[in-house]
Amino acid sequence: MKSKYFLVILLWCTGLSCTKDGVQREASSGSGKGGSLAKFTIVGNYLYILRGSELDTYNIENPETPAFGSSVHIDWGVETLFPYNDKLFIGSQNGMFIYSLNDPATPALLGQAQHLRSCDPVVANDSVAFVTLRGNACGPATDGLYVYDVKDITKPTLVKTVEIPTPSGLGLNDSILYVCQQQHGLSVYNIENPGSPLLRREITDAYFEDVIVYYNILICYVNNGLRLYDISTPSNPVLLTSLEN
Amino acid sequence: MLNRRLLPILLCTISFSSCIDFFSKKPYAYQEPVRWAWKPVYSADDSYTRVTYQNGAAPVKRAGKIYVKGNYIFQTETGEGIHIIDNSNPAQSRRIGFLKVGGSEEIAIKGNYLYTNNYYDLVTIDISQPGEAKVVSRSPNAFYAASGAGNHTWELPPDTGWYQCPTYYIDSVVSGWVKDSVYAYCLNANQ
Repeated sequence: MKSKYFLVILLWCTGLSCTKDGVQREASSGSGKGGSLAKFTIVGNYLYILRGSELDTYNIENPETPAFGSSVHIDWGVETLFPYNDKLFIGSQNGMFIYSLNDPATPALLGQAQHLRSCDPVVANDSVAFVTLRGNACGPATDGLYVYDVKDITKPTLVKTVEIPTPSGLGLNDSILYVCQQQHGLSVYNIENPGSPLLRREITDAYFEDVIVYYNILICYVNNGLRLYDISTPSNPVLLTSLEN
Repeated sequence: MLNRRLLPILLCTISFSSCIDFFSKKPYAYQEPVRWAWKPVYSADDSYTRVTYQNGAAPVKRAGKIYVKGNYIFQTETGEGIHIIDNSNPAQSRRIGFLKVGGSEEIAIKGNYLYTNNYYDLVTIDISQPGEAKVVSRSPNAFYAASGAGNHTWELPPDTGWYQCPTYYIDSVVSGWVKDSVYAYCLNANQ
């Protein structure tokens, strides 16, 4: 009897450790992981696509032939799509939109935050969303990292703005946040206290556009190719491979 | 506030006035001259739908978005296709092949199926055997926000003079020229 309980507890703990990692072990029939600048993403049996100002949903239960399901009007200039659990975080040139995937076939608006026109990828967890805004090319917003409290998902509130030049894609690794800054490199922040990100490290010898946190590897899209960093120590990326030009 | 209220009225006036112009018998004040000039002849060309795989590393000119699945990393070559990178040993990752997909900018993968945009079409590519990668389904015009459409080049008309400026299509090419009475405002002065 005791051993049965032990087994249950063991299984439960295993489950916990998986969620704590923030990394989902993928089955070969599952989907992969994209960067924060993506306009395509897969959650379960659905493929979501940003098209102009629409979010299109395709059913891919039969992955060979995506079946178009629905189209939801989001906003003019939607640019990026970030899935987190049963939610989609969408960055547009006018704001951040949060959609519920409770009914995965028809995403429903939960909350939104408006900001000045800019380019803006989003990453998020249960309580906080990070958005980078780049004003220069897309609008008048101040370049920076914007931190939103999303505990009340219907009312994201801005808690912090860190002014940094030319921010682009970003990646979240528990208490570490990687922020690409194009010609200004890659910045590594400690976000244990999300309201006051602490700059831990800067890598300035490449033009960083976007990143994917993948187990102990940081996959970086640089302007002339790809770089891989070992992030066994998340605050200290160590260059492994460079595939440039 | 006043501006906000006025703007829609102003916009309506402008759009309605253009409608009236459009439908009135008297033609719009300025019109491109109708000339006896060269008119392009289009032929259907579905070569853009061809997806091919080539072994080995391809050069990076316009690095694009990234995607990872299992031991493989995928990176678009913006508008050209997708680099496939073997990441089974991250310290020695290397590009092992290139999937040529015109217009490609976005990637998502489920199982052995890769979704990307082939110009404006959403395509599903079976990558279980990369060497025999093939399109297994296509949703035409599912993704119009992609760039790089209409990269066809075309030959100028056979002699100098006015010709109708060709329109760019992905699925057709200019295959020749005929003389016709057309609105022609491109001028070939090079010969």
